[in-house]
Amino acid sequence: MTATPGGRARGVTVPAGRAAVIAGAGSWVPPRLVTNDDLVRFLDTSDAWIRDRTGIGQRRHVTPGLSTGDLAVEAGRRALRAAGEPAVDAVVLATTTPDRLCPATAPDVSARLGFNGIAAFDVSAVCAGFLYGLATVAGMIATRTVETVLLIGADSFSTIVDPADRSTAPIFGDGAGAVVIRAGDTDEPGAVGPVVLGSDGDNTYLIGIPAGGSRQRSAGSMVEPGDNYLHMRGRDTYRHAVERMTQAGRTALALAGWATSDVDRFAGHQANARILDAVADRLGVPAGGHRLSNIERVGNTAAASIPLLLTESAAAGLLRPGDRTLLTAFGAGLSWGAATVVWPEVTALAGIGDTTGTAAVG
Amino acid sequence: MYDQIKHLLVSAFHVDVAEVAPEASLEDLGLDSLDIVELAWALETELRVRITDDELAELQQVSAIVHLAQERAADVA
Repeated sequence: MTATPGGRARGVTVPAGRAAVIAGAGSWVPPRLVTNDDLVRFLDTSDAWIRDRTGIGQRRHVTPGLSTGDLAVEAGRRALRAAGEPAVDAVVLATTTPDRLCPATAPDVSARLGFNGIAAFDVSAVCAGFLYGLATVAGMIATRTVETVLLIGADSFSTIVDPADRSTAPIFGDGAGAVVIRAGDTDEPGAVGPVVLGSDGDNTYLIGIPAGGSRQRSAGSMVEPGDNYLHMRGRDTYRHAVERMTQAGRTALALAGWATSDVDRFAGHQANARILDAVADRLGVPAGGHRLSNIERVGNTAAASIPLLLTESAAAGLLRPGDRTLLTAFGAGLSWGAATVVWPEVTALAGIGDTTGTAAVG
Repeated sequence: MYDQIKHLLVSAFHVDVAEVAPEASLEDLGLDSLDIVELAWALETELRVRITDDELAELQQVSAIVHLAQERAADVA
C-alpha cells in the first residue's frame, strides 16, 4: 500500500512553517519532430492505431549527438531565467537516461549552467522521478541544507526503446522540464504539499532494460540484442499505473485536506491518454480543461513529463495562478507518487527546438 | 450472464452488437490488451464478478468467459 510520509495521519493538514515553493518553470524539447506517419514507414502500425491506443500524434527525438544533459541544460536555463536568474545551492536531475552509465549527469549540467561547485546529483525513479526529486528537494529545504534548488526532469527514451517495437516506440518522446524551488512558507502559493511516494519491487520485471547493469555484466553471458532495449508488459503496466496513480492521488488530496471538487487542474504523468483518462475518471476530475494534457504533441517523456506539462500549460495560459493542482506519476520500479500545489504567479518559459530564444506554447 | 456480458461489451467497449457471439474471441471483437484490463474492472464493478485480466486474456472466447463468470457468481451467491 502507499505509505504516508513520516507516518502522518490521513486528513491532517500540514503544519505552518518552512516549505519548498515553486519560483519559476522552464522546458525544452529537441528539434527533431517524429510524427506517427514517420513511424509507420518502418513499423506495422498506423496513425489511427497509435492515436486510438495512446492519444499520441507526434513526439520529439534527440538528434545524433544530443544527450539528456543537453535537454536538461536548455530546460534548466529557461527555468532559471523564469525565476529571475537566482543563485542556486543544488541541481537535482531526475533521469533514467543519463549521458553515461557513470557518473551522474547533474554535475555536468550544473557546471554548464554556471554553478560549478554546488551539490548536484541524479534521482533514479524513472517516470516518477520528478516527484521523487520534489520530495528530495523539499527535504533539503526543510533541513536548511539549501535555500534554492534547480530541479530538472529530463529523459531521452528514444535512445533506449527498440525502434522496431511497435508497443513502445510510438509511446516515448524526449524532452526536459525544470522548476526553480526556493525556501518559503507552507501557506503561500507554489508551496509543494506533502509528497506521497511508493514502490513495488515485486513487479520490478514489468518494465525495464534487462542488460547493461551489474547483474548482466557479472554473469558474463552474451547479451540478447533486444535486452539492451526497454521491455514493457503493457497490460500489467496499465493495470498497476491506473490503480497506483489513483490511490496516490487520493492520498495526496487527503493529506492536503482537499476534496476532489477542489482540484482545478489534474497534472498526471503523460504516460498514455487512456491511463490518464482512467485515473482522472476514478478520482472524479471532470473531463476537459481540468485535465492538463500535452501527450498528443510530446508523447511520454518519462521524468520530464510533469515539469514539461506544467511549463507548457502555464506558458499557454491553461494553468493559471491560484489553480489547485494535483500531480501524480507512475513508472518502472515500480515507483509512483503524487503531490498537490497551488500554482503560483510565476513565469513559465517553454522552448521547442531552439537553443537561443523561447516560445510560448499554445 | 451472457446477455449481461454482451451488454457490457456493446455499451462500454463499442463492440458492434451483431458481432457478439458465444464463439467470438475478445480479439475478434476488437478488444486490445488494455481493453481487457478495463473489461476485468467492469466485470467487477458492474456485475460483481472477479475475473483477472490474465484469465480473460487466456480464455479469450466469450462463451468461456461467460461460463467462468457464472461459476464465480455462483460462488459469491
